[in-house]
Amino acid sequence: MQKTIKEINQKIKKKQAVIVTAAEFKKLSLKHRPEQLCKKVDVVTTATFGPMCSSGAFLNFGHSSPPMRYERISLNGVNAYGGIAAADAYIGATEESSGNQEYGGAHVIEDLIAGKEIIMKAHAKGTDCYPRRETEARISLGSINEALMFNPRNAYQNYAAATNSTEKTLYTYMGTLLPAFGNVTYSTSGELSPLLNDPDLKYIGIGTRIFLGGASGYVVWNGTQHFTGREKNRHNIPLGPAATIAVTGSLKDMNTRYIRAACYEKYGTSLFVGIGVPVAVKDAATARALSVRNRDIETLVFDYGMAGRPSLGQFNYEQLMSGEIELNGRRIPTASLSSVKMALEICDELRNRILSGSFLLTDAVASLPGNNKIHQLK
Amino acid sequence: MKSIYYLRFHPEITKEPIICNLIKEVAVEVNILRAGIDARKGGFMVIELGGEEASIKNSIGFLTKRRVGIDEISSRIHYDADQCVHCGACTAVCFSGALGMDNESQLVFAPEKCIACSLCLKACPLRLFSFSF
Ligand code: SF4
Ligand code: SF4
Repeated sequence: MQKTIKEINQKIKKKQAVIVTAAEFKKLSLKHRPEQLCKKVDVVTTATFGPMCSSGAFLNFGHSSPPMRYERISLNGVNAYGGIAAADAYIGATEESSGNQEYGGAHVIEDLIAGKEIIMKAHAKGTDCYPRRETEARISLGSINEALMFNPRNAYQNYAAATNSTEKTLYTYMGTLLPAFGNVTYSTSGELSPLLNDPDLKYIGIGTRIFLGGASGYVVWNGTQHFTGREKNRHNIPLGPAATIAVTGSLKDMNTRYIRAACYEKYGTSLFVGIGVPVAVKDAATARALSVRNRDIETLVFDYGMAGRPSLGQFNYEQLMSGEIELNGRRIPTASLSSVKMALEICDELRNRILSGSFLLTDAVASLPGNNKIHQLK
Repeated sequence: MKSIYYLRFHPEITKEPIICNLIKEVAVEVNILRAGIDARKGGFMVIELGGEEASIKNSIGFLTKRRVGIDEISSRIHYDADQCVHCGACTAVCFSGALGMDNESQLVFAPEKCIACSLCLKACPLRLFSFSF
């Protein structure tokens, strides 16, 4: 059996489509074969809600009078990149404010979405066409032209877990790693995660419409560090960081329930991004891939205390999510950094939007690259 | 009945064997969970008191009379539940069992188990924990 996106969208419009969340689909897959699942279900909603450092937003402030090319820009004390044209800037999630390490670009983004006013300061050298050299203004999401989230690398397909063999506490983007293997942290929504439900990137491609922070957004390219050459396990799941997506959507349609600023001790700021992807159950092979369970998804545990971060072992997410794993004969507590509860909520929310007819599926206009290599700085 | 308390010792009272006397005078179980006291600088102690309600009340009276600052930890730690995204980062550092995830992947907070180690204050990326001592 083969279904097209067009057919599925027609069923959605006629309110005849069967849409289930990834969690519900896993339960169905215990009782039904992929061929049956493909007949029964049209769309499966997948999601993730985790800290994604490679996130940010392009803003266009509007021109001042007399005109100015905003060159050095700060938003609530956080530097924004102003080296693009006169009134555009990019605010990155991990940029920290000069005065307060606990406030960064991620907070500016969350505050903008919350409708708060932001103090924008800008300096410029002044040119004949842009004579003004300084400005200070209060901006808000309603007062600026565009506010376009553009995240160069989100929704990692799998990620390594972290632990710490040293005698010192390590403060990392993988959370607080307690000394002497005090804990293991990991970051994924596992079997709910979009790219783990489409391991060969058959559905997710350039142009795929997604749920991004509460808005309808799009996959615009592969994410940076996209690495499909990663070794795979026997369930066709890469054993570590692999595919990624670059995504975009308007801040003006987002909701702070799904975009939250984060601050990791002695590391800095990051942004919790909620991403939902509806996967069309086009054929039995897609249904089979969507049946993947946490026990089938494996990752490596890296020692963040040692140079080169050697791997200490391979575990599946059923083990990691159980609250403890056994490493070198010791039981070590595990903790997540990514919210499964929020991922479940986004799966539900996206299903409701599709059911209501306000969110239709898209055919990708081009596939994401496969079989690529990844480079290290030499 | 069991409760965990945070005690503060002024340098002036560090010479007296207060905990020993407490156990002798009041029929109460004392379990010292954490402590850091310097005879010259004073310090703190986290203890669990167990026994009848009356003996716990008497213990608090005993300690207060000897000028030990005493606070029940569960009423002093605050967690902004409405803002929680249930990421789980705080559970990575909590060894008292006060923080954990339930079967629905939700954070469960049991303040009565908290030993005031303060690790969650920094581990929560949303900074949702605070103390009011
Ligand atoms: S202070 Fe936080 S981490 Fe420490 S015991 Fe209490 S709840 Fe757990
Ligand atoms: S770390 Fe903070 S946001 Fe995450 S589960 Fe704990 S309290 Fe909630």
